[in-house]
Amino acid sequence: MSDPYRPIPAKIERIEDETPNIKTFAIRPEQPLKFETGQFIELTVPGLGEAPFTPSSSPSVSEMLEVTVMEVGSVTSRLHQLKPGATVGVRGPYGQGYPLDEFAGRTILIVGGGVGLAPLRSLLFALLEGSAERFPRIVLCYGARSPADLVYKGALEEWGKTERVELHVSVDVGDDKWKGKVGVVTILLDDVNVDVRESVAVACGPPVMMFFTTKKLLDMGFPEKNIFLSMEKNMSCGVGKCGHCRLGPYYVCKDGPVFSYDRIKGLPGLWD
Amino acid sequence: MSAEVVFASGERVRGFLRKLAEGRDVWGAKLVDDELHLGLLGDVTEARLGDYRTVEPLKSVFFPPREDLGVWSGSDGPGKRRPALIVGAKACDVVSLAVLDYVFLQGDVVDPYYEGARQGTLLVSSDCTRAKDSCFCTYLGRKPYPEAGFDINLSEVSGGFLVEAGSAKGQKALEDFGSGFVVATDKQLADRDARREEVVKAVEAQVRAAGLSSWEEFAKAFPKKFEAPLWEEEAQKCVECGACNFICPTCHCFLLCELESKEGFRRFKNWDACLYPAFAMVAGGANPRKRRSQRLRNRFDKKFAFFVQHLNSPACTGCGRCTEACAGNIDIKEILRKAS
Repeated sequence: MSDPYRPIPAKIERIEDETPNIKTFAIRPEQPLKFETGQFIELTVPGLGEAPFTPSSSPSVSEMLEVTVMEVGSVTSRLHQLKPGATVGVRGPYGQGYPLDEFAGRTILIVGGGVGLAPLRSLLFALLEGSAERFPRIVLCYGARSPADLVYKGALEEWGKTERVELHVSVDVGDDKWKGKVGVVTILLDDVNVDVRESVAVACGPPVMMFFTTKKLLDMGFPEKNIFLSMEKNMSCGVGKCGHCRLGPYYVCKDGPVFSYDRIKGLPGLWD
Repeated sequence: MSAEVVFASGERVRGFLRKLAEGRDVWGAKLVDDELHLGLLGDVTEARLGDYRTVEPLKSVFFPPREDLGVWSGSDGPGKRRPALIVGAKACDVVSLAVLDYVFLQGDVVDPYYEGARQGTLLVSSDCTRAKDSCFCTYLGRKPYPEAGFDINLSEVSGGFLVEAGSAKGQKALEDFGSGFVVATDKQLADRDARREEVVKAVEAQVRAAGLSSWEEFAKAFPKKFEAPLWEEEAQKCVECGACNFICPTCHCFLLCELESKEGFRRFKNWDACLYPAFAMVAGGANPRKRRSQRLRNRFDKKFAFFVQHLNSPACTGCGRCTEACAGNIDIKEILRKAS
């Protein structure tokens, strides 16, 4: 009997501190877990419960997954207390990831807020592993609350030096050392020069950031169908049975988590 | 024997049911303190065949309130359940299985627990012989007697029962154990139809008395009434107990839970309720249904929009259980009327 609710044991191999309340966990499942970028997994803290995360690592690696976790609830708090060598559980992958074939040949404008950069890092890995002909230009706009809250500082530096990537970073509140932009992430879009007819936009972040980013992208002239949002709802079973993540006619766990805006526009609870 | 409706005396039907019960857990209605309760029966002939639906929904047999999914950290899988025989299920519960089948058996992934329980079950339904105060199945275009979805259906008639097979499994059971059953006469069929019609009329009268017309009218009006004050008004009475969800034969939401046990980490599939404040809340605190009125409305959205879109039929059977169970006296019929 194949049991969709049963996790595979997995070992935490490495833990990296990203910010004071965000860590990245490198996890090795007992069996490889192949996923597409943008799909999510359920991560179990044994004896406590599970929570959904989109891997932040490259989809080309299935032996080891990375998830970036902000400490916000019971599962994530316990995860933050775990040490390398600890056993957790993983199930998945679930849902529909980023439609890379639709992105091919276009400028890809990526907008991330806070820990919302996690799924986008996986996307960036996938895009950069693709050829420059397939994904010629990536514009990444990333915003966090403060310089201390920026995740993946090493990767950001790396992407800043990559020819195909145009990087814009802002923080809501700067500090003495911060020389970059100050303001919410949408201000970065003012500096972005993209031909909306030849581009797609991808956004992931907290609800209010998603709302204002979508609004801004629409103002820029992006067609609704070319704006791709990673929706966060309370995905639990992952397979469209348990009912928690319903969004209008969809279950985010199986029909999403990535949706083009035209499919979900106006649905009750979309931005909450 | 063909797929015809047959007649058998009460005594022969009891003998038939005893045969079906061999090696099975038997679920049926028992009268306790003037209410019919669904439970495991020691003897199949204890089952009440007439009257109306039980207090508890039939889903409990296939989708128990708390299901042990076994230890995932070891090799201890869930225990195997004995096959079940359900006796005397009513039409509103039989139609609820179409909704649950859609949820748990359709799509890319099948719920193996539900599937196992469903496949191992023999479902013997029976006609309602009277209406309960809260019954309104005819509003949903349904009947107080099973039309499909059963293995065997029993209709009480003068001197015994008419017995009908509704599946290959039911037909086989009739062939194997229906000794002495005879083809029903026209008179017996007319007797059955007249009894059925009487109950239909009783339910229709209740629907009329509640000021209801048809669910299609509600479904059509619902989008326009989405922001109407009635949701806030009705939600004032809601105490967020989740009883309407738990008692509903089609409410299928569940939560996967973890517990540490001697054997390792054990997983459970527990009923959950969308009326609970944190049902849709994510870890960061965002909640698409912060307000009680949104949660109450969500129940109708799910049953009359989501399921109509996906299943072409509302996920309400008209059993009236939610009205009976509501601690705040919220009446589903009242909401359906106000929002139509």
